[in-house]
Amino acid sequence: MAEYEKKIDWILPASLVGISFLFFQFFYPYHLFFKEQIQLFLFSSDYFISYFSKPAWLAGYTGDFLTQFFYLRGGGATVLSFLFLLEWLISSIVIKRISSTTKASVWALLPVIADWILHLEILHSVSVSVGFILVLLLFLIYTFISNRRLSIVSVPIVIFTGYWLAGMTILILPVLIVARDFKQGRFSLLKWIVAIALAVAIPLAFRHHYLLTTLQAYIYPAIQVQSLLLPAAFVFMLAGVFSLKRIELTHSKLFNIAVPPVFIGLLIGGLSVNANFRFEKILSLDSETYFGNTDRVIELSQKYKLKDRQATYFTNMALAKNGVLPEHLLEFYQPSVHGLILPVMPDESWQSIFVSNEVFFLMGDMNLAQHSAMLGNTFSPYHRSSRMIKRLAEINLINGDTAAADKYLQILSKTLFHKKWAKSRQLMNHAAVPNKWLSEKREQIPHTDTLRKSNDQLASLRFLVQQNPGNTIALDYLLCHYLLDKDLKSFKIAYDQYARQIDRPVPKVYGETLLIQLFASKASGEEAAGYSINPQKMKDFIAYTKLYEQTKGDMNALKERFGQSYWFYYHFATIQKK
Amino acid sequence: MRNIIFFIISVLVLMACSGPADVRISHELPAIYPDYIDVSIPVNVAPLNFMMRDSTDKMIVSIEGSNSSIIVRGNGKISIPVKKWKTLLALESGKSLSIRVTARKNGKWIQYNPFKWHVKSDSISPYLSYRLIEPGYEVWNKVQIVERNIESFDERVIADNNLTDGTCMNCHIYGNQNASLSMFHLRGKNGGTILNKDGKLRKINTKGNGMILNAVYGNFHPGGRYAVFSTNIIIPELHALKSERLEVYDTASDLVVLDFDTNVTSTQPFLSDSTAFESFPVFSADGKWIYYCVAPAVPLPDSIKSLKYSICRVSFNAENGTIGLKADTLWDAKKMNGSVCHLKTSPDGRFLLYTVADYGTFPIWHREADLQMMNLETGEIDSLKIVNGPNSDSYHSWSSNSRWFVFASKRDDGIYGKPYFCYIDSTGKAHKPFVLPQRDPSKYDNLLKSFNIPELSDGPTPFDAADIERVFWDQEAERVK
Repeated sequence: MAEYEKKIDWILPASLVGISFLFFQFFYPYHLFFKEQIQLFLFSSDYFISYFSKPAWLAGYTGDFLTQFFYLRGGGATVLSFLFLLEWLISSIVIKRISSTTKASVWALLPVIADWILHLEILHSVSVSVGFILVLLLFLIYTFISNRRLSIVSVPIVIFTGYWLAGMTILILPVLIVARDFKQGRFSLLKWIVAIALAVAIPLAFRHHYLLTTLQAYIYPAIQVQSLLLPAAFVFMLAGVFSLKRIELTHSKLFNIAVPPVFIGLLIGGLSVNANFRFEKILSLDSETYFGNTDRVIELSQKYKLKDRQATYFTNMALAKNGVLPEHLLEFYQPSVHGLILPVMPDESWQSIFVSNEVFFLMGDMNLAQHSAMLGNTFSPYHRSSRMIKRLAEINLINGDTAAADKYLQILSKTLFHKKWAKSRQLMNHAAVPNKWLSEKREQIPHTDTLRKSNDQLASLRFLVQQNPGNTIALDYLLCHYLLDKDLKSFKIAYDQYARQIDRPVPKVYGETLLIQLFASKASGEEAAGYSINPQKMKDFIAYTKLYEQTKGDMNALKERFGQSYWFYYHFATIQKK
Repeated sequence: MRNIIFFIISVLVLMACSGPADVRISHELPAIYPDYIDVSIPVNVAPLNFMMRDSTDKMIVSIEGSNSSIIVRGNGKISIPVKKWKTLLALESGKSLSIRVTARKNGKWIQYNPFKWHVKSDSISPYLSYRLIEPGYEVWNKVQIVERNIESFDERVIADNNLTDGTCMNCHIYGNQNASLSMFHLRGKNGGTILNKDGKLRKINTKGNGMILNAVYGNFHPGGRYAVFSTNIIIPELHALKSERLEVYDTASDLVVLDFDTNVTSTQPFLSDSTAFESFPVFSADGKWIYYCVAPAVPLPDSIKSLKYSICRVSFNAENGTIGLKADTLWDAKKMNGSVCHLKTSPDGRFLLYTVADYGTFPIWHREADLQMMNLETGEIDSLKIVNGPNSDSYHSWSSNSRWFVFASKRDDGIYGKPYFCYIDSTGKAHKPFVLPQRDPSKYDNLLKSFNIPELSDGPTPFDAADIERVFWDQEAERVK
């Protein structure tokens, strides 16, 4: 126990940092991948200069620089745990400077825990963590000023510089300045008032210069108010340091025993409130789609069994890419047609709009893909996304818009981790003969024109198929759209017109749908035979019909054997508006 | 020791100053970006900084006039010193500068054929405002109206939708290129048309009695009391063909004149019925005519390719604010087999500048959309071959002396519009245009926004984004009848 008490100063922080690495690496990696995808960090002078148009330029630039490493497997977890280590280390030093506590290293864990909890959110930027570290460093520099007058004069400079470099975390500076004066026995009410007034006034005074709303001026570089939890946790920690000073001295043992569980409790509480493991699963499907790991998407989807529109969206794409969408469609949750294509509508989340281009790209509707990717980039939190720029480059490469593709590729060539990709696509963009991938993608593109509303999914699918009946991905999406919408008449017409010309065994769900339609239209045996539906499927259909009649349509009785059949879907699925 | 340091420094300085050795002479022109080869420039323009996108790692550029010259060195791009540039242009006004580029590529120096910058003594209106917006087709997110000083690189944001609840902002236009008379539309709940008259800002709800919607495209009467607007129901739809992108068309559009003194609108039945779509109205320089585009209504979107707008004009009486009863056709879409939009009369009344596309009313995604200029005295049409690029050229605005105009061109990449300036000499001949110079020429490369609706003015606007924020949130919109 005594040994533990001696080592608590480093055991707790080391454990926390280590566990944070393991957590982000193994339980939350896709959030971090996604954070990189919604950012774009360029090594160029004008990009660097662009950071000066807002406060916290150094925090913003450094934060975005670090975020690009989230692209690497393990990169995000490494960066975050490193930042947590720095936060802890500098917080400890600051606490030692302004108080006489012997537990600085333990207290310093509180802001780290707060930042960890905050980093569970997609929109909590690394820049906030960097800004926090910068403000603490600035304060440490300030503490070297021993001359009383100079110390007073430097307060406005420190606060102004803090806002310029680090943004919102300057809110903790007045507290630190007052605390330090207390420790030194210097009581300067005027200085304290000036410090508080400046920390409050500077964001307000400069908000028009930086073109920010009042709220944005106080939280920049954060983009959501929750990020204020970090400075708030730091102030709360300081309150703890001063208010519990006596208990800490008189009951040191108790303090050492009680603090770890309290902090662990706080962390677990924060994780349970803020960690969104369901969204992590959806992001895993999204990222694996982005990385082109189709089989992995299906594997994960089978494991998760998520009842979520976006999960279905990624799963359907993976199935379609593997050519087995109509074979396995109903093995996964299908919220009517809403898991096929994500609409780009004002009431959709930015994240949904962000990923909505994937299906159009897959099907070969490059104009809709471009529309969605443009909007994905526009509505993403920082309005410049590496993933969207890559997609826009690909779209224009496929469309043969060499100059437009060049525009995006040269942007990517200024990144650290996408430049290799950009270089390979540059070669493709200027190659005399397109490679296999490019030729195949170009074959999907329509060669005549039509006008359609951006969210008229059926019109787009019909047009794609009409243009290129051999585009089986688009055809499967069209047919699945009809059958999920229970529009069997349109399904049959499209199936007869296009799918019957394709040389492949009748896929499971098409066979099941056709049997309903043939049965309903009292088709002759000869007509039914013409569809070459698997005889076993016919037997199953008869069995289903019998059981349905016997049980008077009891869903539970049918579910076990036929739960994944289209007949079951047709009878029992309720069509949702959205 | 001191001598050794002095010696080393001297050698380094000499090495740095010495010209390149083994220079190969090329008879080609340098592949510079932006394309500033043989362009005509106004005497008051900011330095034309440029770069070479190939493997050039060093450049020496000499800019030689008859009286003076500048030598600029750079690594792949050059930044011409502003003071020296201003002096040079002042000395060489009305003459031509010869620009010789010597570049180091893969360790070898190449000297390219020189090219010219023709310095025109006719100044351009020194301020340019434009909307910076993602070319995201139907919707917007972050929109700013920016004012740039063309004589320097200074720019400031005069309206930012971040401060106005994310509302859309439309084109900022001036009356007579005068910064103390301008307007733009702010959409949304607290929106309205923001009218700037001598720095006093008014917010006007322009939807008058009988109007189908609020005012959209507009233009000031030279007297400043009136503005003519079209009011349009606008439908965006997407093309399927790879070379096309977005089509925007009107399913209804009418013309009205708004009297800012009385807040009363007026029109004529033939300008506000459903048999034709009227759009893009402008006043003539003397204010006695309204030029506008008109197309007979067709079923849309099916007949979009037969939706073709002609140019018509109708008289206007500024004494009583009334529009004439009969329109003349100046440019017949049927005969010309095209569709016109964005009319702009030159301040001296000589020319009418407009955009011609194959069909429709939204040329910014039409690759074939080109500028044309009609001589209003002779009716002669100049197809402006030297001005137009391979992609859309549209949204133009005249300089107050009628010798320059600015327009938005997507010639570089087909997606992102940039402001180009074109010189019209005293004979009405157009010269090769050049893009708005930037302090860092690579700025355009990394920018993911379009310069939309560029407009020239003779001075800086007397308001800023903070003023617009106040008007948006605190000022009630005036209603018009």
